[in-house]
This record gives sequence, structure tokens and C-alpha cells, in this order.
Amino acid sequence: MSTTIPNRNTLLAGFSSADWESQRRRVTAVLLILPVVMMTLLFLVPLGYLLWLSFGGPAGFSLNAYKQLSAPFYINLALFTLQLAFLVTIACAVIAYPLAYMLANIENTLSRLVVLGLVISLWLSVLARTYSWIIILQRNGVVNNMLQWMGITDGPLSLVYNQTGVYIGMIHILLPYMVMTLYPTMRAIDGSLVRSALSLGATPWTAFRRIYFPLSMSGLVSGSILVFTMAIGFFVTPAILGGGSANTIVMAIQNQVQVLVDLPLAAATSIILLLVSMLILVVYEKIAGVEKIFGEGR
Amino acid sequence: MTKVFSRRSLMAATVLGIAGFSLAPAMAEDAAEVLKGSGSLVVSTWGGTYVEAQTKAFFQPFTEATGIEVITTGTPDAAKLKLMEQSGNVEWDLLDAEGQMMLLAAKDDLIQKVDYDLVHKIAPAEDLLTETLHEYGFPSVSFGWVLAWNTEKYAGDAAPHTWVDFWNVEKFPGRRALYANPRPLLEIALLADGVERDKLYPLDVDRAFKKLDEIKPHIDIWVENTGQYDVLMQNNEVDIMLGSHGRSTIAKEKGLSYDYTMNDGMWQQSFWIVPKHAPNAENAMKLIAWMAQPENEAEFVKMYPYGMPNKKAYDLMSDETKAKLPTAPENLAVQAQIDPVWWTENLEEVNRRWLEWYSKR
Repeated sequence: MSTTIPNRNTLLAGFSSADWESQRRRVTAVLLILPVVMMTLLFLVPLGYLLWLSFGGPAGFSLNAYKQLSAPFYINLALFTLQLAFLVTIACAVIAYPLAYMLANIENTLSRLVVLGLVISLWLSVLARTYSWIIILQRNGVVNNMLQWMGITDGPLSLVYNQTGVYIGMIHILLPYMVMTLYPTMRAIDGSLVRSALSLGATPWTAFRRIYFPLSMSGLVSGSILVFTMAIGFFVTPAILGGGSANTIVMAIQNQVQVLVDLPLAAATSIILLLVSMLILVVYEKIAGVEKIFGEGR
Repeated sequence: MTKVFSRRSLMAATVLGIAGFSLAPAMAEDAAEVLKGSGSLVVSTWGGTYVEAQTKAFFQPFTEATGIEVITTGTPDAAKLKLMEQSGNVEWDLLDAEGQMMLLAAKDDLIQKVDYDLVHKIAPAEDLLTETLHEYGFPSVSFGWVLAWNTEKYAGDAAPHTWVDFWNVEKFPGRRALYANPRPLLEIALLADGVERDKLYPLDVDRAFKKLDEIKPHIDIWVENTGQYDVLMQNNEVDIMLGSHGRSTIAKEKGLSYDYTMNDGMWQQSFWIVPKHAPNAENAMKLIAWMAQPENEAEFVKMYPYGMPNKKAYDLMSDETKAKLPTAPENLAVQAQIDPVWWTENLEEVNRRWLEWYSKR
């Protein structure tokens, strides 16, 4: 047996752990090229183009678009949009929290059906769901007919073509996103922590408040960010269910693009909207601690 | 190669066969001869049943007669056209554009003039409705806006007739809807304020907004998207409204309890436009010329109640169909035409005022 079959140790003998580390880094860098290129091409370049367009684009540098945006009605539209997004986010959080709690902690047919329902509603087109709300909420709709049949109301209530309809529609469309973000966070919470708190004499409320809720916070924060950001950009639902009473800044952008064909103005409006939303999220991060989302993985 | 050839000759045989039965066989054959070509073109037009009707009445017979393939695609969009021309990558050869879009595009030098020499080889100038023609666009369809009402609410003689009636909330109580767009709201406000149909332009914007102030508190629904009309009428959600002429006609034919009047209607013209750098501009011009034939147009209006530019087409239609079209002679007399030139010139100012007015509660 003069020739030795090299075993693992002899093969690795020439490599120090530092070599392995640098090798690993190189592989990581190579693997990251694709996502970095994608991010640059798909996000940074278009954003840069939008910024360039907002300052006049091909026609040369100009602040004209931003000056036009100082008109009071643009400011009012923006304020209303933020208010709408804010209230919808709060409503989604309040409704989604107990729902997600139930799904995460109770395993039965009902909770499986609820999950199925939420997932299916994510697959359906927003436009179709918006129009469905008209059918349900309109004056001859299911809700109004039922209320009158049961003698609760005398005449039809105005449930759609006003802000009520917009809130109902938007909360319904955005709710699954909140539940689906909360659910995995809650599933990951170790039930023994709450049980320990209880066994050490905490009341159920204290155990929830001091143990469960803080642990579910990261899901709530990321869900809120997701819903708020989507709500700010909502177009179809406020336009159709609002009947003119819930005009958002995005509807103004549509008007600028399709009616005025004023691309710099539309770009400037989008940039301002982006900056305002980012500012709000930064403030929110300071208060609620978004780093928890990106913080050390479990 | 042989395969293509045999398919062509088969097509030609089919066309001849059809032509033998059609009303004006000589003409159809001439058109096929003049417009014969190859390749394809991309047409950007509106979706749904509209493009189905266009395909059946115009595009399919065109392909069969000339060998030029027609590819239809999503909605005409002025901003997209601008970006395509700026980036030098034009995907569209022919667009079905609203008048205002055509004028904006022409102003920005994005489209080319229509080859009327070619059009007149197929349809002589004297056959075409002059009020619909334009240097940069060939008329596609004319459509409009009408006063429409719920026949359950206002039956028989109780029906409204004019925009003065729409503004009269005591005599015509009920739920009201307006289209959320200054065009043609300014026009109908002025009509309601007593301005004569033929003296609308230039629009007195101050006067129109003042009149709109009067009716604003009584409007229950602002329609953002014409697709909403179908839902509104299906469910009797509105009693009196500024309706889309096409959708109101279809609702009435479906037996819904809605009716409308052509009186004081506002009609507007859409146009076929060809981008400046359209890769198949020649084929686009050929299709335009093909669509100028009265037979095709008479076929189209059976499916869609929109006005057509060739006067001879109206002779081929039934009285019933003709009565539905905004551009039928008797209807032209009681309506006014929306002036795209005025709108293009005043768009920015009016739009700013409109947004301000509309978003104020």
C-alpha cells in the first residue's frame, strides 16, 4: 500500500481558513452581480429617468413642473391621499390583527378556509373586485335590499359613490396583504414564552401586552408599510367607488399624462409623492423601529 | 413558398366569390387592385366589442383583399406615442385617436399627413363628410354625449328634452350623474345657460363654470370612466345624466329602462393617425383608404352605432340604424360638434381650473 488514497484531511491541508473566507466572499460577490444589475436596471435607472424628466427632460432644465405643483388644489389632493392611506392602514391593522391571531393559533377547518379565501382574493383582479363592491353596495344592491327587507332602514343608504364606498373597497382589497404579513410573524412566536409569563403570575392581558404584542410588532410594522405604500398609489378603487368624492393625487397624475400629455409635470408629482411617502416611512421607522424587520434573523 | 402562393390564390378566390354577391362588386375589386401589398401593420385601437366590430367590418376583409396582415393592439395613448417617437422605437403604424390627441400629436410633430391622393382613388372627395376630415387624420368614428334619463322616473311626456331641464332640479327631481371631464361639461353648461348651439365656440369658460356651480350640489355621481355607465344603467342607479351616446344606445336596445335624446347632444370626431416614424406607414395609408369605402362602413354601424365619414354609406343603412348615428343628416342638425382646435389651445388652462373646481368639496 504505497499509494495512499488521499483522505479529507490531507486534501484540505493546504488551505487555511482565511483562504476559505476569501473564496466564500468571491462566490458571494459573483452571485450578487445579477441582483445588483437587476436592481439598477429595473429601479435606479427608471427612477433617475423620472427625476430627469421632472426637471424638464429633453426640453432642458426647468423648475416649471414643481412650480405648478404649488397650486392649492394639488396640496389638497395630496393631503387627502395621505389621509385616505393612513386611515385605511389603521383599519386594516385593526381588522387583520385578530384575524391573523386566530389563523396563527387555531388550527381547524375554519382557519384553513379563511387562509384559502384570503389567498384567492389576492389572485382576483382589483378591477373586478372594485366593480363587485358596486353591485353589493349600490342602491339596489344586496346590502341595501337586505336592510330594507329586514325593516332596519326605510330607504336605500348611500354606501357607494362616496367616501364610505372607497374605504370599504380599499380596506377589502388591502386587508389580505396585512394578514399575510402578520401571519408568519405570529406563527414564529414561541408559545412557551406566553405560557411562562402566565405561569409566573402575569394576567393574560399583561402576557399579551408585554410578550406577544411586542414580538408580533415587526409583522405589524412591515404590514403597515406595505399597505400604506399601496394605498397611496391606489387609482381604480377611489376613482370608481368614489363617484367623484375621493379624488387622489394619482388621479391627477393620470390626468397629467393622458389629458395634458405633460410628462414633466406628471414626473414631478410622482417624485414629490415618493419623497413624502419616504419621509413618512422614515418617521414611522424612528417611532416603531423598522430595523426589527431587517434585524437579526430568527 | 408554394404554400403561401396557394393560400393567396385561395384568398383571392374567396374575395371574388364574396364580391360577386356584394352590392358594389366593381368597386371592391378596384380597391383590392389599388391597395394590394405585402407585410403587415400594427393598429392601436380600443378594446372589447369595438375592436371586434372593426376587425369584422374593416381589417379582415382588408387582409383578404390585399394580403396585408393587420395586427391589433392595446389602447392609443398620447404619452406612449410621444415616448415611442422620442426613443425612435415606434411600434404602432396606425392609431384610432380622439381629435384632441391628434392635434396635440400634430403640434408636437409626432404624426404624418394623411395620403388623401390614395384615399380619393378609393373614395372621391365629394363622397366624404367635410366636417369630419383633417389634414393629419382620417375620420375613424364619430361619437357623442347625450342627455339620457331613466324611463321609470320620467315616463312619456314627462321626459326631459334639453340641458335646461337637466339644470331644473324642481321639475326634474332625481339622482343626477355627470361625466367628470370638462369636455363636454363646459359645452352643456353653456347650452343650459341659453347659448345657441352654433355659437358655443370660443367657450365662455367663466360663464360655464358659474353655471356648473349651480348644479354641482345636486350631482350624486361623477362618472370617471365611461365603462361605469353600463353598471349605472343596469342597476337604475341614476335618473338623469350626461350619457355616452354609444352606451346609452346599447342599453336601450338591451331593454334597460333608459332613453336619450339627440337634441343638444355634443358629438366629437376620432381620427386614424399615422406616427411620423411608423415602420409600415405605407400599409397604414392603404388601410385608411380601404376603410373609406361605404360598404365597410355600413357593415360597421350595424355592430356599433358610431358615425362614419362616407356619405354614401348612409344610403346603404336602414332608417333604424341611421337614426342612431350622431352624423346622420337629421341628427347633425340638432347637435353641436365638439371643437378639438379650441380644446387643444385652451386645454392647460381649462384643465387646471377644472381640477381645482372638481376637487373642491
